Amino acid sequence: MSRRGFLKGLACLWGGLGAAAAGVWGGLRDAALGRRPVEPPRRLEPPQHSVKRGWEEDRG
Amino acid sequence: MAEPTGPELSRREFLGVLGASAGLAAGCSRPDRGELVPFTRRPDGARPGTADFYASACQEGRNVCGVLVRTREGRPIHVQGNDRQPFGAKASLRAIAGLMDLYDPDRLPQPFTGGMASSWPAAEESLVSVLLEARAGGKPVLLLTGALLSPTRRALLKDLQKALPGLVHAAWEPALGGDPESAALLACFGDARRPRLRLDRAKLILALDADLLSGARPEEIAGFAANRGERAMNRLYAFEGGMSLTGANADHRVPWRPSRAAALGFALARALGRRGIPLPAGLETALAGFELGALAREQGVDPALLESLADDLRQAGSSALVAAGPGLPPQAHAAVFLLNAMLGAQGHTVDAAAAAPAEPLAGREELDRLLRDAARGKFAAALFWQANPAYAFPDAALWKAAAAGLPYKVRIGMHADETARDCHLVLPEHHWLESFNDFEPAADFLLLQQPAVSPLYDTRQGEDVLLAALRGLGGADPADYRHYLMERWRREVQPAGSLVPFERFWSAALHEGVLRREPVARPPRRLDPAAVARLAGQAAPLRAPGFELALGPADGVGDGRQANNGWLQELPDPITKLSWGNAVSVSPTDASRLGLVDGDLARLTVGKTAAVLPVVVQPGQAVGVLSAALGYGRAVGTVAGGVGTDLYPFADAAADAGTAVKLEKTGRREALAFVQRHHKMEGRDIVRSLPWAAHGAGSESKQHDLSTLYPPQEFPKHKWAMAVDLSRCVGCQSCVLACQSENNVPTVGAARVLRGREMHWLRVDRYYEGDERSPRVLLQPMFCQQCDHAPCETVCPVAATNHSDEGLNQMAYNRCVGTRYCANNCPYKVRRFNFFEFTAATPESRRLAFNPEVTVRPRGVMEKCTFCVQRIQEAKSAAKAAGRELRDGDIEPACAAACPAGAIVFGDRRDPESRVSRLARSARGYRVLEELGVRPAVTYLADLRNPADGGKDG
Repeated sequence: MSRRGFLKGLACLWGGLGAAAAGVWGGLRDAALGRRPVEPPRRLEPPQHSVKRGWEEDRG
Repeated sequence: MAEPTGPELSRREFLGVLGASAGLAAGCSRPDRGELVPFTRRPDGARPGTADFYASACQEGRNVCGVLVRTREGRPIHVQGNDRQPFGAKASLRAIAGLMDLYDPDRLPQPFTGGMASSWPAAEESLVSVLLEARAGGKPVLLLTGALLSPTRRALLKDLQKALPGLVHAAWEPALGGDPESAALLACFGDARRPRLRLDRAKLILALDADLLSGARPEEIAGFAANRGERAMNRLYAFEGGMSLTGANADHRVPWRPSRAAALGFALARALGRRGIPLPAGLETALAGFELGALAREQGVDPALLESLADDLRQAGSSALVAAGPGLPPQAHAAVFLLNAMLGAQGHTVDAAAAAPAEPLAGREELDRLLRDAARGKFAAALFWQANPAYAFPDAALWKAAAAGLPYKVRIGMHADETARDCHLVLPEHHWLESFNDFEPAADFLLLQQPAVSPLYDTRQGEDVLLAALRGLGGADPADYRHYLMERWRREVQPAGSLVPFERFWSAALHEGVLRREPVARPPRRLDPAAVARLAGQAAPLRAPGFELALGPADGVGDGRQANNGWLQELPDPITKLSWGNAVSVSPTDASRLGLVDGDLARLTVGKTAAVLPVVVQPGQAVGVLSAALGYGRAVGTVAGGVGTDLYPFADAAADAGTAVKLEKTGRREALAFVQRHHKMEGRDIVRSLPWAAHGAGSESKQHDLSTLYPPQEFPKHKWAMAVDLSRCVGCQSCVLACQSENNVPTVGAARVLRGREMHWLRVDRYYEGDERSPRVLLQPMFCQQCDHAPCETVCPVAATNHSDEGLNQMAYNRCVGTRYCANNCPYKVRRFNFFEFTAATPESRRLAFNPEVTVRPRGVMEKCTFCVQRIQEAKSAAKAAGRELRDGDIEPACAAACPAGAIVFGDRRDPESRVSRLARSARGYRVLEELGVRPAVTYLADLRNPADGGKDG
């Protein structure tokens, strides 16, 4: 392996490791602060069997 | 120098590759932030940008209120009262805040079995197999719930009991303890139906430790406020240990030990007997030991005041109303029933004809027996639904033994709470905004609950879980609880012989949210004097000198079920002004004796139970009485966990008159998150209060020199203004929560409240006047006064705040650079600064509660009340679309729409006939700090008080 190739590989490895370490650090910090990933609601839909009041009617 | 050449990697290239690879690695792990989906396949009838309203209902313990839910693009964004419901059309404090619970990120998204994520079919199969096994083995199953209140829910439980004969059901409301009021009703009337209190008909109200005016009871606030004005004026006497909102609004407030409330009631009954209202037969002897004079001496109260109260009661007759707090023992309730019966108030101000069916709650003896049975292994399984005994049951040791003795435990609830941690099966429940139900708050109407949004998570309604169990046990087979509810309404609620098809009847009922009907005629109930005499004989004797402890649900978080709600946690106590936690209130006399000041940590010992909690020195607190709020000290919850102290372990001992209560200073301190730290007006008439007998004399109007060098302002079309009637306002803070919900106001947490950085656009100031042992309390909603000569506008270096041609003091958020000069120059201290990027810190699910019509403010920006400018624009557009001019009453800001007392009126001052213009011309009208010449657009109407002596002593 050329010196240039070796250095390129080393740079990629360090970069990857750095990013992974940042991710792990972030996860650990969230865990320490008691944060947890929040599940987003699965859908947002109007209710299916409800009866709404009209906007104009409510204002009127 | 030449650049190095050759095959070596240069430093620059090395760093480039390093950065690129790091970026690539980080980029690959970028979290999914969702995607934008066009609203092209929109649901039928949905109009983007237009709000839809759903009538629904919210249950809170033994109270229920009708609500109107405002939704935008499928998201519920605001809760207000249902204007079609009888007796007060407003929503309770915790119903408004219920929106936050819907979007709570701590909600359980799916079922869990043994702590592992599961599915509904597997969970139901597990539940049914346990129930089948129990039935086959003849072992009972325990079902512990909260108060039912719903006739259909009751019917479902009956069906379940038929299919599972061993089902033992107990309804339990932890904040009500053993429900002494129902016990007294049953003993004295033979009927536990709670009468409706008609404060609107009452000319004289006597409250014995009864907080009739808390935000949980909008109907009673409306009734009280209806008779607080120039034309009609009631008189309120409050005898209480701790200071409540009812005491704060009383014409005569007397610090009084709760243990002596029953004695006061019986002594008043005797005094009425001497004034010509005969005591029921046989009571003269039973009440012989109760004397007003002796009680006055014992409690350090002027005997003339008690005699004057007896005169007032005699004079008011059937227009008087006497009420006792739910925490008082049955003897006090019996005394109140006796007084109301003697005065003729039964059937007038105390309306038993419209009383809802009795809601039998399990007493402490019954609960103890059930839990002891559970500890002995009597039950095959237990289901906990709307009940959290691991948190709220006072005897923790008994609960632990019961939990250990139950082979199979099921929790049906929204959160992985204290009880869920002990359970084998945890079944996530719908929020009430996702549920169908009906409620019977009175005999003459029903409220319907319907979803305002499809379920957000993989949850089911608690009733649907029971229906699944019923199906598994071979019982009835409706598709779901909605069908079950509709079937019951078809059979039992729709009038027999009606020509209207049921579907139309059902749709109309859902549309209105309310169904009025004729109550079943019942004979008037008669008070049993023998029962009253028996209870009078048990009235607690005078305690030995020492403390007594009064516990009750918190004004904000209630009994703790909604403790994970940031809006309610940050809402300050209306009297102590403490947010984010509870403290023990001590009278100034006791505090001085023990060397305690605000924030001192003290050890509270009641019997064998002890806890260390902070102290608040509360003016007006009765000497020898300690009071504190339940609902705090939760062990779980991102918001609720660790906030305040759990006082449920003290509930038993506090109810027992014989238990010694001790309070000792520890020498340590805790910073308390007060939102108001100065309690006097220092001689300025910020809140004006007048005796009713003297109102209209004109003396209240003070004229100030308002000459100015500024040119007069022109308001060509409208001049928006507000009027706040302090005589109607009771300080319940519904307006504060409604404003927070409408205007996307963030919660900031205790640490920032401690630094004075709370963000509420509207606050209710509370001032004390007079002797701190028994002060007068004055309350005042305070928000941006939209001054015409606004001092904030003149100091803004970038003109971010300026005046509209409709009289609004408006903010251009994009222009604001955050100098905070405006906040410093505001005499009302109503401007709020975003010290942090609160929106970015808001969890995704909570952001769904944002009102899309209101800008979410970034860090470094000043904000304040806008008079709900978005509602003004909405009403203008609606009027334009209808081809008409704006009418008075078209625009209702969120605070005015939420006020149960109708104290806030908004309108156009250019229209001389508008309500706000007429109120501004009232003899009671004044502007706060008018002498500064800032020309506020808000007129306050002086508070009116109606003391028995006409307010001679001021």
